[in-house]
Amino acid sequence: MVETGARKSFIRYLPIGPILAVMPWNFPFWQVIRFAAPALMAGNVGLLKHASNVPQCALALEKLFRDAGFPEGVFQTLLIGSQQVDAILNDPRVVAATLTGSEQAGIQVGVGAAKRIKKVVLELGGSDPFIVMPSADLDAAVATAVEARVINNGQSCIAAKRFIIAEPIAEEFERKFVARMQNLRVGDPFDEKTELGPLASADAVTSLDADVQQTIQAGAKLLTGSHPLKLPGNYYAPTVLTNVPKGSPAYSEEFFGPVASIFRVKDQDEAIRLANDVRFGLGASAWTNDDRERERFINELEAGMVFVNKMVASDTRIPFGGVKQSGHGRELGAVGIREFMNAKTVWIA
Amino acid sequence: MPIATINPATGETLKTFQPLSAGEIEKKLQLAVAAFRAERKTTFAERARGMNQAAEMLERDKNKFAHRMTLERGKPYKAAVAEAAK
Repeated sequence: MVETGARKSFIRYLPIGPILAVMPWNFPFWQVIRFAAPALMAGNVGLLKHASNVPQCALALEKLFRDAGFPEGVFQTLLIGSQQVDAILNDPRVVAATLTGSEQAGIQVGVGAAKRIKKVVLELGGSDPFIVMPSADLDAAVATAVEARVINNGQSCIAAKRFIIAEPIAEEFERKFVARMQNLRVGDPFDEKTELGPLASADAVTSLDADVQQTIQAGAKLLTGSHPLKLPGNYYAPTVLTNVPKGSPAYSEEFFGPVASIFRVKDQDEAIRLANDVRFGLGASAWTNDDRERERFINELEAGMVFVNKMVASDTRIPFGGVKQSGHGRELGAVGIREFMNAKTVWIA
Repeated sequence: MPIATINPATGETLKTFQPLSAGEIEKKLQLAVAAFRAERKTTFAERARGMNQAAEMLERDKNKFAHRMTLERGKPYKAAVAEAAK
């Protein structure tokens, strides 16, 4: 209800129609559920174009919604190549699109949606900072830092990628962090004890390694790793870099794999400046027990999400999304469900 | 990139899929429009029943779903089970 001169005026949120969802392989179930649950609850219907390397997951998801009792057509999987996406965006029956994936894919779908004046939500890359200040619980921060870097074999948009550590605690953090990275159990993903599995493709290993080598050539110091592992499959050694120069790939690009960069900073000003010095703005994890520092991180970090003394994670109850070139719009929470609804203004005289 | 299941832990191609033809896509779009016409008239409570059912099935069959994720993606199996249960 809104107070106006009307007898009654209000906003009614209504569903808008079939929505195209272009989804990535890194969390093949969760990424889709995160789109489908709010979209279907809103009364919309979904068309899924999943990544080409997870067709069996895509078909299993279509079957799941049918088996759960949703009528035929409410959630469908389209096994199509990415070159077939634009024709679907061009179809007037498809009213909006959401994409989680790379910047390049985001630009294509974003342009495609803009040309047809369709709403689009984009969840793209990230190079999330993980900042540790002297007042933080250092051991907790180190343990979480490793987990936040190698989650999903290092292939997560919200994985922590840049570790920004205050000078007084940097040496201890570095020593403990490197030791934990070196002790990760690498191996067969079906083995329950495995902590780090393979990357999704052989190309992913090649391009990650090229970025690491280029960063070292630019002057970064290598603390551990920096090579593919001699195993069948697409394994890369847990790697830690420091003294990473501005302009090198580890400074400005998103690393999709078990490669961490450590930066030392003299104070909070420098931590915030460095954290914001990338084109991305997805999540940020800040470790401090100082209230004033906490407020500054919340207000000044250029990110869609700030997690204090915790790693960035997605939770159905709260919105998820980024700023800058990490995309726009939100998924999840009340904000997320309304992205694909018509906020219809009603005035009854 | 072909639509295929390739095990990242071994490099082996396990299964390939044919992309949908224009005709098959058209059929799916028609189905989507028809489904939306009916779906928009359902209530939140009715849709919640289906969604809760889907959630229960994910929880119940999380091992089966996780197996697919680990196979297609090399995701550590324990993490895959947790993802299905989320």
